[in-house]
Amino acid sequence: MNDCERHHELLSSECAGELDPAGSGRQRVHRLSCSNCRAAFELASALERHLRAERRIPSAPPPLPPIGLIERTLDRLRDPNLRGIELHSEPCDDLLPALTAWLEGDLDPTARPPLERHLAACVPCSDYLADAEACDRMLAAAAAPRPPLELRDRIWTAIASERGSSFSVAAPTRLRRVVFSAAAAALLLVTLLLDRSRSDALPGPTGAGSPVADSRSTPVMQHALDSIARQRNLILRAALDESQPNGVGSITRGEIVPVRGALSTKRSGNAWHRSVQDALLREPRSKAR
Amino acid sequence: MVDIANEVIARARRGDEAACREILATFEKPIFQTVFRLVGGRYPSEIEDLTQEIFLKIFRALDRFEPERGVKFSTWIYTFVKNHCFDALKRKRVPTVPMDGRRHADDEEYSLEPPGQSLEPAVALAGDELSRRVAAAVEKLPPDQRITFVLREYQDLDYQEIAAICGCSEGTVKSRLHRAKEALRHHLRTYVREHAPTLAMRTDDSNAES
Repeated sequence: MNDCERHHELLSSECAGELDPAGSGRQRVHRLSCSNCRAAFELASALERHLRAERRIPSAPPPLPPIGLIERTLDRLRDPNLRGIELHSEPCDDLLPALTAWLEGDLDPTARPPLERHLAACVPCSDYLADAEACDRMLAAAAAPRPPLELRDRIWTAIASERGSSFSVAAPTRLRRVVFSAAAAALLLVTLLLDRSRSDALPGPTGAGSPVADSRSTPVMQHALDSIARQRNLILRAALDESQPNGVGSITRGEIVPVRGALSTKRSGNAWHRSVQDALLREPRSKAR
Repeated sequence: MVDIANEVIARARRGDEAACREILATFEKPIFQTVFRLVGGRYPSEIEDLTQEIFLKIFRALDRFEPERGVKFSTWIYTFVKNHCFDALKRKRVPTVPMDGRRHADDEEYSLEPPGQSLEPAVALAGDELSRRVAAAVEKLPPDQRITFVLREYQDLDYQEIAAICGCSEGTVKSRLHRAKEALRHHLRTYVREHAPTLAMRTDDSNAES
């Protein structure tokens, strides 16, 4: 067992005054050289003093509230103009270090039960703690924006141009990969559709092969182009969803220009999403035609 | 906390392109967000420019990073972030000190606009109301407390690393962090009390809408 562990073991009995003089002397000597144990001791003894003082007071019955106080308090609470008014007093001064340690999660386990007993009885202290915890949750929940998608390319270009020719400038970042793969998929789709329109047209019963195929190929081409637009937007949308879980993607979203204006960026995010969904739902029907 | 393998850093120092790209990919988001929280969300282009300048400095100095000396790469990187952002804050301060020097009393607030307007420009970046409130409150902290708070709470660095980055003792880090949190709780207390129910309701609304 090292000195700190021994100090920690004896801390609660020392604060309760149950340690023999030699033992408490050793504790003091250790604290001279150890700031952590010194802080732990100061905290524990402040808590002990406070709780001892509390134990002495309750022998006298608490004073009764003045007549009408409860009604007045309720009236103030009901008044919409007085919201946010401070109805409670400040937390116990000498316990602030212990409350802070509690919030930071580094309160000594031995100090926890007595502090919990205090909190159950002391409204200002438990209010203070509840407020601070709500605040900390709020701080933790606050999101920072994500960097815009094109920033990485921009930085890389700057780095590459400083390094001279040793680095390639074109950066295959996620956005570009997405666009390239969308383009590749679209190309494949066009080829397939054209193939199908030809095989439909050639064995036609009228025998007039090529004119029919030509006249048909226009709406087929149109359909293919629409599919490209839809597919690209869907893939971009998926990429944005992945990169913007907090819904703060308006900066990057605004900069993506959809093909043929079929899905306008001027619409709000929700409308855009819906129109992409609609496009997706329409697709099987137009294929069946 | 974000960190990167020593082997990747070694390759990057030899000029390996893939390793350099990996460093950029790993630290782009943390650095961008740290700059946002340190400098404030007023001008999106400013945050982007600062992030780029920091990366250029990092890559110029990559040869000087010595893992043998026991310095963590993240510590080394965030030292650049801290220095560069502090320089930017100093540059921004210059026009805010008037000729008669009357504002010295609230110098530590470091605010450029009157309080009523300070939330507006952050709208562009910080998304929802809660994040904007927090961003505005964090911006009111004195820079030393601000960087301590941001590195500890949002980048999850330990006391030792923050002490190395700020050039102070771990005890100072702890006390700065404590004062920062006290100030933030003070700034946000009224908002939290008044808006806790509304915030919950708003989440329900947005769920129903979509």
